[in-house]
Amino acid sequence: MNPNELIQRYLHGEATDAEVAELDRLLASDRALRRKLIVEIGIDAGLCEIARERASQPSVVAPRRSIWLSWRPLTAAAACAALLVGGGLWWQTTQRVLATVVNDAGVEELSNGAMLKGETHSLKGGSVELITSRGARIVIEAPAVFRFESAQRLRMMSGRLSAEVPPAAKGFTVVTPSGDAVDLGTRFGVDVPVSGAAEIHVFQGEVIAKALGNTNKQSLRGGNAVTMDGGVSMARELRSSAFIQADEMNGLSAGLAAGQRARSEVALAAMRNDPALIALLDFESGEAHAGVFRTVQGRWPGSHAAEFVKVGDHLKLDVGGGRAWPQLTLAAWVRLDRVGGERLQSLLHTDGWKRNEPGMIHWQVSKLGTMWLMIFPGLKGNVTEAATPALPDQGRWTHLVSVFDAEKRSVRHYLNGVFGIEVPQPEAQPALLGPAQIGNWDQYDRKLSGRIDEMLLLGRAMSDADVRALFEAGNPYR
Amino acid sequence: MPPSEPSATPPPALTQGDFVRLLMRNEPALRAYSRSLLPDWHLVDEVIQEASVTLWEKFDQLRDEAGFLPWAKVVVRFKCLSVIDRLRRDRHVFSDGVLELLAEEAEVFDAEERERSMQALRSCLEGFSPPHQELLLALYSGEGRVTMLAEQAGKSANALYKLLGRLREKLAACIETRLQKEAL
Repeated sequence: MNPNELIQRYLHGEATDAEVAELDRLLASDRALRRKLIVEIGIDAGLCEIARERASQPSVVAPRRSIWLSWRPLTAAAACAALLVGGGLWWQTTQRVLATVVNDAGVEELSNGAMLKGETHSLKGGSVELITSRGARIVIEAPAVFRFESAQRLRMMSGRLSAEVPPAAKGFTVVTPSGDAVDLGTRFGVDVPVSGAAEIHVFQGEVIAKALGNTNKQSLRGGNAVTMDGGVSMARELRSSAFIQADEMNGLSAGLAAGQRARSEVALAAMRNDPALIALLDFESGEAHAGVFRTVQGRWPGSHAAEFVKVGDHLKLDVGGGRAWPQLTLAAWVRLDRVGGERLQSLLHTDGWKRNEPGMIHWQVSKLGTMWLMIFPGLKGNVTEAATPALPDQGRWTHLVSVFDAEKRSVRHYLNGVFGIEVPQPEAQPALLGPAQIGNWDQYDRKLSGRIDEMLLLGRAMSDADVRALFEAGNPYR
Repeated sequence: MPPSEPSATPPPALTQGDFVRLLMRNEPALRAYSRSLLPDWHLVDEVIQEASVTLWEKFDQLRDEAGFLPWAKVVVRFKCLSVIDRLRRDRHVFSDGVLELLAEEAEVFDAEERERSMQALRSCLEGFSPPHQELLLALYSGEGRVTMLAEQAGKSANALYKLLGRLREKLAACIETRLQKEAL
């Protein structure tokens, strides 16, 4: 028997004791043959891996047929094959580690080092970063219910996920109730709301979208996004920053570890006792707000924020009406899905603007990521259009503050606690509030795309130090 | 408090997360390495599992990430040898001298090298016709799969194994050529 045949028989577990002894003798004196064996083992391991991959893709599953002939059991391949057939499949899904938790920012149900197999996980709060056994890096934000069907197949019943898939995990698939996302080597996000259609957002690379019940596949490239509803994929605008990605996780878990959440609560309690308080929305009291928006997770594990996704989403607010405000501070923790696109994204728009009432306010973010606070009729000329330091592009919680002082004829803008710019005002007209919308202005489309976690309206002008302290207390990152 | 070293700052301590990541990244290389010493994949699974536990217990001995694979190979090799000792009682395995030589040969395969070979394997496999690809993967797709393919093709299983042998040789040659081209 030639040496190559011996190697094949050895690899396939068919070599007899005499053949193993012969191979041993040949290997002892032949370095090229030893190398050949090592290479063959590498090919064996590689083919095994590819066979597993293909088996985990349903299209390749072969029809089962009864086997008439019996053949000598292939013990070499059996360990690999055992994972694929019969009881082996059970073993694979129940025993094999499919993914491991590497960062558990605020998640109670899973902790660092936890090994995920085929079981279902339900997360109430926080975000968790996982690495699959094939090296795909996944971040899942609560509330979420999910299960790994294999290392290459993640079933998301609900929740929001971002994935970074290296070449070794190409083909990684996210299965949702309304369709699948098949990765072709890329970074992407999938949002599966508790009720409503799932969305796929491609940040980079290529993803195949397959809406449930539709045989057509759609190729999505970086910058594309779709909503999958009723078997149809519809293009929508990208919301890349709506997804927590791996690079944000360390800051979030460090913030939690440093006790930022408790600090934030203390600061909010103090604001509630501030005699100048007009309104503080934190979405935690369970108080219902009029409007159309989703309630999703805020900056803290299990906390709440309002999310505005579709055209027309808004929240109605009616505070501070019936009097004038010579000083006014507007502060909010926001997470914008993206900057650019819309000309303006609404933070707070008073309804009275339409009636040309002097003192009515519009607080918004421009397409360049700058903050604008306009006090009617100050919109004439661009003097009220304040250029603040631009908001960061990537998905992050950001603290925005604008302070108006009629007597000083000034508006001061702050980004993440840092003073940016002071905009002189042409008139000493005090501000007016009353019925207003957050996230939209119904006369024109000023849709905000993103989340608002906290919004504070204060009838006094905060100092630089006040703003700094407010940001530092509420900052979820460290 | 121990005195700090004047010039070098100590590297940051490796965390539990680092361990998991390192193990996952290097597992395929460790599997291939132990397969070079062990006669079948069942034993490889067994050894890798046991070795992972040992590696985890002794993880604090590891100073930096680059040291992971060489260190893990030592542990894996030790586990392999104890399994082989057990096997010697009832079946024929390679002699100690040959195992030593094989271990030496397998030493060169690190995670990166393996990733390159894997890429070469994938592209070479794509070059085969779909039925030939299926046959090449049949050994790993469940027991009796080759026999089933033979039945479907109306050939004897023996003939198919012969063909498989030739395809494997072609595949190995293709990978070799591809890797050599890359090295130029």
